[in-house]
Amino acid sequence: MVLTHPISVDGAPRPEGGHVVLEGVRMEFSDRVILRDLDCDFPAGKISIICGGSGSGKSTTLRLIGGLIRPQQGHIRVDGIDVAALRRTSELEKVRQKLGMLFQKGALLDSTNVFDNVAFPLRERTKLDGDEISARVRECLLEVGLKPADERLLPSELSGGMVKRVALARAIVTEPVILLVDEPFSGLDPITSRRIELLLQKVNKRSGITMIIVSHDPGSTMRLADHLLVMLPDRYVQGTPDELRNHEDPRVTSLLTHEVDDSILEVDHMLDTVIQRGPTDLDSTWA
Amino acid sequence: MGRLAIRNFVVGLFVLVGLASIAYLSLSVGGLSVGGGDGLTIYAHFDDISGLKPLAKVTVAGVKVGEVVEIDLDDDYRARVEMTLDAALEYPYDTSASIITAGILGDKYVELLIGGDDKTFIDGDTITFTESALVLERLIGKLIHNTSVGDGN
Amino acid sequence: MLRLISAVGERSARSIEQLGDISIFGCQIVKCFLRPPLRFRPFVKELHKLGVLSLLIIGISGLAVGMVLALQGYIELSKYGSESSLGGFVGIVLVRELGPVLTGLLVTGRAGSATTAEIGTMVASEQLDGLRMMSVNPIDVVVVPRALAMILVMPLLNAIFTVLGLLGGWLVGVRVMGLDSGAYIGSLTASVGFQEDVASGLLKSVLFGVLVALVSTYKGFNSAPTSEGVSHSTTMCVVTASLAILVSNYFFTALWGM
Repeated sequence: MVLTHPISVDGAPRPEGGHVVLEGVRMEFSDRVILRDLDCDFPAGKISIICGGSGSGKSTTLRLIGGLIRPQQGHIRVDGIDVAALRRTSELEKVRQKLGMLFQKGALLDSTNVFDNVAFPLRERTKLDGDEISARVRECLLEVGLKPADERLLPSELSGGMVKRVALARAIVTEPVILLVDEPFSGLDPITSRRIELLLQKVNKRSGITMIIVSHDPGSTMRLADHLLVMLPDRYVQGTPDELRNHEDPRVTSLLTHEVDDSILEVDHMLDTVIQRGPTDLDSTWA
Repeated sequence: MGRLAIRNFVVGLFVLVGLASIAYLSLSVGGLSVGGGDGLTIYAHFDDISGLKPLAKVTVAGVKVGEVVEIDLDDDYRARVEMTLDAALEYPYDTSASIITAGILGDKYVELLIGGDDKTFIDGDTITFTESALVLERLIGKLIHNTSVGDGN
Repeated sequence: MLRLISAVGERSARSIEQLGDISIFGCQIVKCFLRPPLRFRPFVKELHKLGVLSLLIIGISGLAVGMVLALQGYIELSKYGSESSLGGFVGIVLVRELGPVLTGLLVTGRAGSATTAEIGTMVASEQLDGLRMMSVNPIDVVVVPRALAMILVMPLLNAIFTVLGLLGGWLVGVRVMGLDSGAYIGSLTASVGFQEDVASGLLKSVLFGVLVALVSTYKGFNSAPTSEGVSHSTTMCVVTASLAILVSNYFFTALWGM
């Protein structure tokens, strides 16, 4: 693979594509249903945020888009290509060239240092020579706010915020058009969390990359999102932050504002029994 | 970089030590000969080798000078033993070979009794004077037989 | 009773399924190995972790096993006046059986379990999914260097174990029991042959290397992404690999003699 876009600088044109659509997706693990008939649409070039209770299938949705798992039913279209229908690794890899993923705990290779971690996808998947790789890696590290002195650190020597930064650098180093982000703010203090939030926003504005972020942090969700998908045990709600701010379902507003009216706890409990979800979901809370 | 170089060095050392151990086991302990051609090959025929095995040692005055390579039967149904000997030594033509047991129940091996002839063995020669293995059961049988004959007199 | 029988059936069906799974996994490893480039740096790193760091336990065990063999052997052999065969006894037992088998078991416990735990942790921390998302086959990067290193390390460690065992036997036989050193070494070299003993022992250890490599990487690769899952996989790696070594050892010995 050769990089599809020139190295992006300010004002670079938005990359082509980046549109993700899920149609009628059903996903179950053993006898536990995680997703039932999920239909949703993540617009190209925008920041979409998936929120919902724990165990509601947020991360599963992300992994489905990445082709890491396959649904029992439905279609997952990344720029028109149905990821769920791809059987060959080579076809899947073609789609994954468009995708970057930022994992919850960074998923950095813990035996190699920061520089090598970010350089890894370039060394593996491109024909760039050493100098070009170094230049590109340094540019990305600068972009995510890391100093050249940090290059030689091992993942175990990094703070939580730095891990996310390095993981972000690694995810964008091959210039994907879609970035899947799993819980970018988990385990971070509010200040670092805000820094990461601004960083994601900057990357999106600068390169026009589509971002699909899983998060249950209401504050940053409302600030960042262009588009929202709220996953509840019995329904999925989509819309812009403004549309959902005063949604009729009190659970949606609770998830987005962090304020829970105790009366809905009763409703939720009833939902558990009505739709008969697995025992591990009984403790699911979205407070 | 220094730490990496040290690690590579240690790994190299480990591989070398391992290979040296394999070589020691194969060549010295296992007796695998690499060249094969530098030993002197000599044959000896015995009436009874009783338990002599390939790889058994061949000694002169108790010192190992070679080993048994192969044992088969000759045309007269005697045992033909092929040995390789240290080619650096000279073995006179009237040297004799006997099969000895180390201890009462120990391993059998071949002991050469060096003669005084001027002519020496060359590769492929056959030792004429041989003494077969001492078979314990036969010896005891002979002893009993002799004793009973003595009584008859 | 019916439930018992169906439980047995279910268990055996699951083990057969797993056996098929491991074979497929092994084929994938071979496929990845044959496709260049070979990752040399991680390979050397694994040689260090699996080989060099196992040296201490292998060396001490080899020495101790050789010493106890000589002690036991001397006591028994001296009853028949055959102490001079001690070298042969220690040599044959070490080269044919105890060297490869004990090395296999020790490496399983020391390095096989570590490999499983390491790969399992990479699964739990989503590192393997991270590789997949970068269109990199995790077998290529994570499994192949470890498996190769394990297969290479095993015969080397076996040889070192055996040589040290012979040394231990010599120490006890010659230095403690007062046997003649020449008799010990003479009996050793006369009894131990290349093809039937040394080659068989080395081949055994290569076979055990393949088994441990396969089991430890497979168990790590398929461990559940939780700390409990990783610890379970590690236990299962040690159990499965040890059994595989002991059982295959019998069959190898039986077939080699034919």
